[in-house]
Amino acid sequence: MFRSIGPVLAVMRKEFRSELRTRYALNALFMFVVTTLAIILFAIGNENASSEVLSGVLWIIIFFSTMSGLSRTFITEEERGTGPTLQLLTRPLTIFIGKFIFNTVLLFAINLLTVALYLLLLTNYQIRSYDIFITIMALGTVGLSATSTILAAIVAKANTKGTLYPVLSFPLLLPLLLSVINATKMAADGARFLDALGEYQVLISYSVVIFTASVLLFEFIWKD
Amino acid sequence: MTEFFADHALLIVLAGSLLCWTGVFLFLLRMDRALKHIEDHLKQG
Amino acid sequence: MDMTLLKFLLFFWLAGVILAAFAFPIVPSPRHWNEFPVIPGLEDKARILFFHVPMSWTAVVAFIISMISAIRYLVRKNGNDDIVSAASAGLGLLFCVLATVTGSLWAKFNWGSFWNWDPRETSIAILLLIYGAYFALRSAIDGEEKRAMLCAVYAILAGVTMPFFIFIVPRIVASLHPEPIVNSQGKIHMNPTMLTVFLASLAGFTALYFWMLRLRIRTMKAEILSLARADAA
Repeated sequence: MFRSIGPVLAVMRKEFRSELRTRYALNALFMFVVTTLAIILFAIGNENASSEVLSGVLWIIIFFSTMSGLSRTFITEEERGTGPTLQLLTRPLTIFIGKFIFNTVLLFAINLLTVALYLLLLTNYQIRSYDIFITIMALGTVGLSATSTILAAIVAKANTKGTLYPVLSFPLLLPLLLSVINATKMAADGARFLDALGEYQVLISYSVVIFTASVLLFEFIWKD
Repeated sequence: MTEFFADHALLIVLAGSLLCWTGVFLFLLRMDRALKHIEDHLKQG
Repeated sequence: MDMTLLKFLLFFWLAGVILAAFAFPIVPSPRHWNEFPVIPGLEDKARILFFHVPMSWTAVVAFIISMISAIRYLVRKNGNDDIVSAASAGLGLLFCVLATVTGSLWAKFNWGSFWNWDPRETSIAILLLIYGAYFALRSAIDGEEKRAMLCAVYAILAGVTMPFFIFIVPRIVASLHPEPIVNSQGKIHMNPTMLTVFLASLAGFTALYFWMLRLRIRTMKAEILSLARADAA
């Protein structure tokens, strides 16, 4: 178990290095979040949108920034032709987990930025129960990253890489999005921590199920 | 006119459903036969 | 092949179900074998359950079979399994659409509008989206083996998220779906007549599904074969 952590960390380090070299995902994601927020601010104006609508909008931004940021997770390997080398050097599982951890860290960072900007700029949207909010953000990010990673691997092998990604992801992510939006609403309305217990259960079981399935299935996508 | 439809609503739905099912069944039957034909043809060629 | 007799039997079987479902009277306290009991709040509208529920059931069976064939494909790498998986997914989509339409019609008369975002409606809409995405993926990959492999993976991923839609989402949000009335505490509250017609319909629809699946598989195989012939020629 511990011996297999080394290669995973190596894949992760490689991801961080190549990301920091081009900063493709970081720049794209940052600009995506800022422009989307600007559009929303223009659209809402001085309107007093309800906390329900604003909770939904927050997760729409997160969903689409994930879609634009993580879509290239595996496409880069195909484009640079580094896939076969990676296949020779290490087992598929290692690659998947390494990429998954990198994506999770990236998503955490970008979600932190999104939420901070969102709460700062939309002054009439306030979170009353931060305990629910932080838990839901953490669980949601992990689930989001697991699903996007495996689907990015599928999409990298298809012909129409860009357009297909959100189409494939959206239905699979909906149970996650529905419960996360519901819990965010509860956090904005000031519910108690245990009121959202059902949502935590859904999110945790969803993440576990998707992660397990991905670990089992990734080998089939990665081969050839 | 509307009264007629209201009074015989169930009957109309019944007749409609039966008609639909007959249509679907005949379509499937024809498809089955056509397929058999094509399969035989492919086997020979 | 002497399946013709069976096919005609299926025709009369489902015709009988339709006849029984719409012609049997609904009375407050059924005494004869051909009478349905009144379900409060549903009355004549309850009759759709003989078609709507078997359609949804068939859709679920089709998806499960599609998923099993997908798993079998990944294990054995036999092109046949991919054909079965795709054919079954297509039929699942068809029955899902039928269930949505019948449910929507019923909702118009019982709830006042065709679409209310009831948890059941939400789940079935998501199911439709999943299989729409599945076919979008199918058409986006060129290589036969690659397509079969990736579609199998996606079908399995979709399959493992299905329980969340079918069970968890409707259970968390309150639903107006009449299942709690007809089927409270997991016990089916139908009188023997209703139950017989319902089960007969269930069996009929399942048989219909298998017939259609067989046809679809044969069509796809004939297509592949004739394409191969055309290439060879």
